Amino acid sequence: MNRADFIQGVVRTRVLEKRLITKDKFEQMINAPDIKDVFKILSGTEYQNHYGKISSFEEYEKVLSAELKRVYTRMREISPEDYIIALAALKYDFHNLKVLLKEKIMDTDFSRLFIPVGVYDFEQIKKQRLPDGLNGTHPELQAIIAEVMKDYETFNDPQRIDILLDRMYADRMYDMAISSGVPLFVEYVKALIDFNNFRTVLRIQKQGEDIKFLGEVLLDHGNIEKEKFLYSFHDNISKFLYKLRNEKTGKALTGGLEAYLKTNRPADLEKKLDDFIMDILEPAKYIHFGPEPLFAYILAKEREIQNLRIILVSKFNQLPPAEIRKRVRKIHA
Amino acid sequence: MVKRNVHATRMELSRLKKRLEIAERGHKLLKDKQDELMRRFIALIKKNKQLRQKMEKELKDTFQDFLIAASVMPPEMLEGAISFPKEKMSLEIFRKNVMGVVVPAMKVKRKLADDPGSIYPYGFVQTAAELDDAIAKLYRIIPVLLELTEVEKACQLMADEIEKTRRRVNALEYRTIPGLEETIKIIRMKLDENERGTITRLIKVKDIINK
Repeated sequence: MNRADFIQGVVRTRVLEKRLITKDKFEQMINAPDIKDVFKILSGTEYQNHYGKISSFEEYEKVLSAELKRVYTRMREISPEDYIIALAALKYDFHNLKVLLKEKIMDTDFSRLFIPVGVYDFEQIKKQRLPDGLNGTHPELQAIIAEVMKDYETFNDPQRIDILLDRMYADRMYDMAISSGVPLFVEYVKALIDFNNFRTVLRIQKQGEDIKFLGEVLLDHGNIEKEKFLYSFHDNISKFLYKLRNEKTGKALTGGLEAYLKTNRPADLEKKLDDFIMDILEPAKYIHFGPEPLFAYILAKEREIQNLRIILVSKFNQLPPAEIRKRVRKIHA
Repeated sequence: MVKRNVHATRMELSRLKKRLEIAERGHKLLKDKQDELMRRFIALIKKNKQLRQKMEKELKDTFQDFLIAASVMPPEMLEGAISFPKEKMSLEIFRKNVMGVVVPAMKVKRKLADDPGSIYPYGFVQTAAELDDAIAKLYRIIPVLLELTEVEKACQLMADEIEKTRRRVNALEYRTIPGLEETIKIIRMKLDENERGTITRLIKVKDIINK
């Protein structure tokens, strides 16, 4: 990878970063009396370009989807390398794969559930005969689909579709980060896997599932080995916290767990972990030659859209500003 | 029901007396049934109110969790996660007899009842933890929802039955029984009149013979 190839891309990204919604503007939106006023505040931003797509404020999701699509299209133009965008868009590809397989097995039309920002065009893929029809065009997808379908035929369990694809998603994401040779990407992927495994342990305990099931759903390639989570499954919280304190992501995990224990609300844990992901991407602000700022911008934009969704959903349901403020994530500012 | 055009005979009198006796017994029984139905109806109405309040509170909490999950996940991912259920539930409906009113009783059965996680048909990477809470709460509400359905339907059926019983009691109390009593009274008066007429005739005949 030649870092000098990214000079123009980084400069263009810095310009785009200036257009990200600021903390003050988010605060204004949180305090706005209703959804109409949130749209008024948003009218000076890039989101205004999509206002024509909606006929009422309740259709805010169309604005957010259009903006996400626009960001990915723009970043594909800006980025000299495809893998940066592919790494960020991988989650959408795997989501689309889940929808595709469920659609095929259930023989139902789920076209509305595809998110068209991934690398693959699923509208085209779904027209093929699965999985063999993909042999010539997308052999990698053919292998994934064949494996998941075979597993479904054996176990007849729809949850396993998600579990298998989640595991493949983590493997693929890790491979992409390693092959990129960018330490920040590797750190990001590993932290994401740690956080996911940590959340999974707590969720499985709450769901009343057993350790065997936990072993099946935990992801590989994190900073913290899978076994450590498995051994801690029956530990009490203080012992669990003690074991995690020296890990690379331990500070975030213990912080998240403490927040969760205070309120017993998983939303607080997830917010802490999401905020820590933004902290990992912080160094990208000071990198001027390389793929990191481009990747960080995409994630910052996704975070911005997520925050807007939190505010709009909350305004739509008339939640007080204090409640909204608790949920809004840290931004890349 | 005043029956003035009946034959004033002893046979008719005894038939009407029997009918009056049955009507009075029926009235007492129906009155007791009405009182008991009312008692149970009031208890059911109270239970219905409690269940509705409980269900509304739990549904509000569930929607709150769904709201949080919907705010942190794109709607496509949220719907995709729950689009293919793992668990299959079936509903058994029985009949229950409450004071002669047939009311429904329901029981929900889970196909994978042994697996506590069977109500969550999705993976853990692309879904928010609030979704688990929302689904768990929704699952916990199902028995309350069914009980509420049972109680509401029972209230409706019992109200109909109370209405019917009340009409019967009123009909017996204000029409049938007074009518029968009046008819009996008329027949009795007529019979007494006949008897007096016969006695007078006999005295008269005796007088004629004695003269």
